[in-house]
Amino acid sequence: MLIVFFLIPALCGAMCLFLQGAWLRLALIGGGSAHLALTLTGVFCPFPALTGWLALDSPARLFLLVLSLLFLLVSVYSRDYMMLNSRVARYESRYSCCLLLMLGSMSVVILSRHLGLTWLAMEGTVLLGWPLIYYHHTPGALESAWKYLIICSVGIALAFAGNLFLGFAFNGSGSPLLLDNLLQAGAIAEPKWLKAAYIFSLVGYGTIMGLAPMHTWLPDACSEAPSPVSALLPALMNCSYLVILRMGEVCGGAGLGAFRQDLLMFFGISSLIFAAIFIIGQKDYSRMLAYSSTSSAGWLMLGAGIGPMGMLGALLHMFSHSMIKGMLFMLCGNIIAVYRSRMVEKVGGLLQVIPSTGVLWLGGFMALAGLPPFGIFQSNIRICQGMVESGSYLVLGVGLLLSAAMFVGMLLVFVSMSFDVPPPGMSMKPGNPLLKNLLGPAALAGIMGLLPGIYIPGWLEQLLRESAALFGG
Amino acid sequence: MELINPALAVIIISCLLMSVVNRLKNCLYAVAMQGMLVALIPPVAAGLKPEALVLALAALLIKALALPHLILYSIREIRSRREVEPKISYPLSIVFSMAGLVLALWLTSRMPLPGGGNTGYLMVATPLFMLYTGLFVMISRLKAITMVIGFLIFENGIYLFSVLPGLQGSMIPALGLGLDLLVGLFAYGVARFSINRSFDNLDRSRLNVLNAELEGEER
Repeated sequence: MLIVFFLIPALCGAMCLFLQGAWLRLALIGGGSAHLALTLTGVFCPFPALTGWLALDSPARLFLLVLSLLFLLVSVYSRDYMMLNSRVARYESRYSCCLLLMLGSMSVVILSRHLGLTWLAMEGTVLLGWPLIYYHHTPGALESAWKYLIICSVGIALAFAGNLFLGFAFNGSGSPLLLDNLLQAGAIAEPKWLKAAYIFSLVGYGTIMGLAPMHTWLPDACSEAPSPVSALLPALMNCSYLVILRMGEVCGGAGLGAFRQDLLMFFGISSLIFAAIFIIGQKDYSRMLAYSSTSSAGWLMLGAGIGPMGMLGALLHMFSHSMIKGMLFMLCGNIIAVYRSRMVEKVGGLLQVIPSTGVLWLGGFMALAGLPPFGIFQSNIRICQGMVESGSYLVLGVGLLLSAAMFVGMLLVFVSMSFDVPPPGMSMKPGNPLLKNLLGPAALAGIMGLLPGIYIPGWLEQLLRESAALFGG
Repeated sequence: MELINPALAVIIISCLLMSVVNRLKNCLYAVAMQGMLVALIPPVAAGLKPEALVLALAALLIKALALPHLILYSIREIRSRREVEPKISYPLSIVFSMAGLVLALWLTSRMPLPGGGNTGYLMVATPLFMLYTGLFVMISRLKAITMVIGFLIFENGIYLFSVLPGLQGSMIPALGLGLDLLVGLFAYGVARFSINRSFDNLDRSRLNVLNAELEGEER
């Protein structure tokens, strides 16, 4: 039954290869809508699982919800984005097909309880990302896509080695990669091989998540891929994060919780350091957003490494960050459409030239910076609270210091883009109706990123708490 | 073990040779030979069971024949210079390779061998060294095609791990062949898009651009 989460997008994706124009866009949005409808059904009335390989537990529901919401917004945004960029519209069938297949394979990653199947679905997701990043067919896009493919493939290969080592660690526990078996057989695990498995999996899936120092594909991919694809990349990061959390659950079950926490802290801090270094003085605003993603990946790691409260904050961060980053990348598309540049120095006076985009852009900055009342503020407060509760004062201090550096780096870019004098001939653009349409999905994503900071519905709070209890032990 | 240990020793020597070989074709021959040995070791170690033979035949066809031929085709297609063009000098490469071998042997000595007494020490140390060599070749050579060769060595190492006792009978070794798909894709990408140079820094916008000759989608 759960396989419909893959089959419906895959079917719509296959249809896209034979459709054109409005029908093609309808198939993309239809696939996304059907997936969201399935997800909401799954969230409120759980599906029966036919086998032990796929299951819809609380974390799966939470991550599917984020993926599904983001995908639907991106698919609606894509419709007008493609009309605005008619130069590359001839690849639209391939684009829509890959996007929908990617939705299907990411759903399998989220639902899978078998680490071999998870790995296979992740490999499929990475491969499907390649044509999407190369969409513009420029030399820059080729280099970014090549870099993405090579680095993420090494990550995939390392994750596979992690699976092998897991098999050695749990030798004799039946099916060696089924999560339920691994969790039950924690006591018989061989700790050295399990540690090796966790290190390889963390580095492998961490590469796809954009953790530093393996993050180097991310800024290039974000700056060269079409804006809707960049807006969907947080969902790819979330999938990797979920697999890392599931591997951590196995480690925790085998009594290696402390080892797991040390590694998560290490990668969390290293991601914050790299992001802070590269964001200061950044001249390309889409790359700046990518480095901010690396920083967020760092906070997710820190949250996962400090117990249930931190884990709760990390999951809330994952939700809010995905929506806000989705919104900002969609707005990048609007800005590029008007200014024809990704360079900060060539974009000025956003609030004068395209005021609605400018207001949302500044709102996005406030959200990313963790200012109230946005969801990221709430999530960071909880992660910091978790650090205080667990006595990790040094990590808290370093994390806050690096976040302050990030804040300064981003502030300079956002302020310059919003308030500087517009470039000559840019003082006031007549409103393009397509540009106005592009604002709708971006604004909705922003509202969803804002909401958790003001009000968290009971069912979402329950999902967050159940997931945090599962992974934060 | 009488047959396996010499084969593993040959693989280790071929990995060491990777650090000094300066012709792309010679690199490729060494990798093809590695692929052949990697494919043949599992059925010899585990006994001539039908499923092991099928897997070995598939691995032999892919690793020793198809992928090296595809890479050779890519080298011809991009009309690349025949030299490897290292970023790190050959003497230093040898030092790094030796250090990698020592590291692999040391790590193996600290790990319990999968399958207990049935697994030889070299059966763990060799794939570990192949992982190291693959990564080293990927980051220490200038050409994109050497990156593909490095990934193939890396992937051969993973395959050798996947056929160790403890995982036999599961679908994991067969899944490992899925990584060959990536190698094939890289080699195809190099030929299709005439990618000659690898990227060599963290930040593409500040540094070099690949020597890509894009002539439109229909080329």
